[in-house]
Amino acid sequence: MRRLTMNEVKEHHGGILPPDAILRPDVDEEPARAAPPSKPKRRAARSERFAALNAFVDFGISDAALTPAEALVWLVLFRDVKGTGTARTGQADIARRAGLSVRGVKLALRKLKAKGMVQVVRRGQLNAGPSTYRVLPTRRMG
Amino acid sequence: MTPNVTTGADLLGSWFAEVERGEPPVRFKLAEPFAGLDVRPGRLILFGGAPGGGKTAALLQVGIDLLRMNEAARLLVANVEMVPTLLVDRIVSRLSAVPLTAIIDRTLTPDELERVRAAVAALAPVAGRLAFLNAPYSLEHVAAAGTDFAADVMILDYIQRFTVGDGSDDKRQQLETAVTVLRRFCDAGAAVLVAAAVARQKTATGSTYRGLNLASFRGSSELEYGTDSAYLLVPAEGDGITLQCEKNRFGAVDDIATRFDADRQTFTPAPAGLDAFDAATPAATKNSKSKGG
Repeated sequence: MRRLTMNEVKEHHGGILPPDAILRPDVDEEPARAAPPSKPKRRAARSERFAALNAFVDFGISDAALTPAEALVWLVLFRDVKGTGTARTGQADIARRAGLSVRGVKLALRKLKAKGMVQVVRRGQLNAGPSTYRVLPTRRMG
Repeated sequence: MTPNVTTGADLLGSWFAEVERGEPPVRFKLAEPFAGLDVRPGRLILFGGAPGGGKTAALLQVGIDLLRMNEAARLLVANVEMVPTLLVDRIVSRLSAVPLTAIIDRTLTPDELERVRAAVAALAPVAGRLAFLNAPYSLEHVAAAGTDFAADVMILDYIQRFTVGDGSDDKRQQLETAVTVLRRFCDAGAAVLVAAAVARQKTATGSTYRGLNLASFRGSSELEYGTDSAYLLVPAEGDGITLQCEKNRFGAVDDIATRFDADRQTFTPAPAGLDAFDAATPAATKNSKSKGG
């Protein structure tokens, strides 16, 4: 079913809605229904992830002047973000998956923190496992 | 009792002659996102979902598109919950893209009135092939009205509320009989689309409409067995509703991913695959508040 604006119906169809069409709002925007409060947050998780990734690619990389290594480390952490909104990945694991050295990961993480693209929520310890990170798609300082 | 059978020999000749003719059977054309629904004479299709889950809107969209795209089709809508004028409000809201509340409250702006006028004009050519059932809401009345109106497509919304016979049987028995009656409608050549209530699922913390499955249709397993196709309307992310295909006797068990604009009673196809990246609008400003995960 085609979706035509009222103007299109007037201009191209003599004001008569064709049988294979319905009208759409003249504002060329998909109307969105606000999610009912009862909906669990998980439902929005996928589109939020897409939006975060889009924001990172569109603005985050250039604004924070990320190096390829920093962007890779950010992506691995982003991949590992759980429903809690945080990622808990060891530096050796990041290094292996990103094809970097552990030293390179340490450096990239330090830079990402300094540039406001990653926050350390909980610092890792020898007997307590890896650090927990919050991954931000664009710079957030302070 | 006189045995009533058809022998294989009787059947085979006529069946093969039909195959040889190569004439495809009637299948009603539908528009996206419901183009994949196999609606044709003899089919019983079930839509289930939680209250307010979009069953009525989906069925109306299928029904009205079917009427507009299939010139010979005749549709009987039997809705036990809404009077015909309220159903027309919804139909016009979708066709005109005017918010349903503005139509219901009759608070239309001149622009909206013009849109409604165009929608009514678009409905006029099919209005003679569309009928709404009034009370009583019994399947006998549906059968009589369907025959009288020569309907080849029927929408029943929703099946648990229709009575059968004198209504003295218990609910489960009534529903079992109802499914038998619906199959008879199909055998008589009608395509029957049915909305069905679902039962809440028990969880450790109470009951919920999440996690619906084929066994969730309220009342009777006859519904599961008797239907040709069964879809559950399940909320997806954002404004999405997935028609989760639980059964499809004659084809692939494919879900239908949609977006539902409740304000305008309109289902549209959900963006799929990489399109979802575009649907997830990139940050409009540099200071996006989006969070990873």
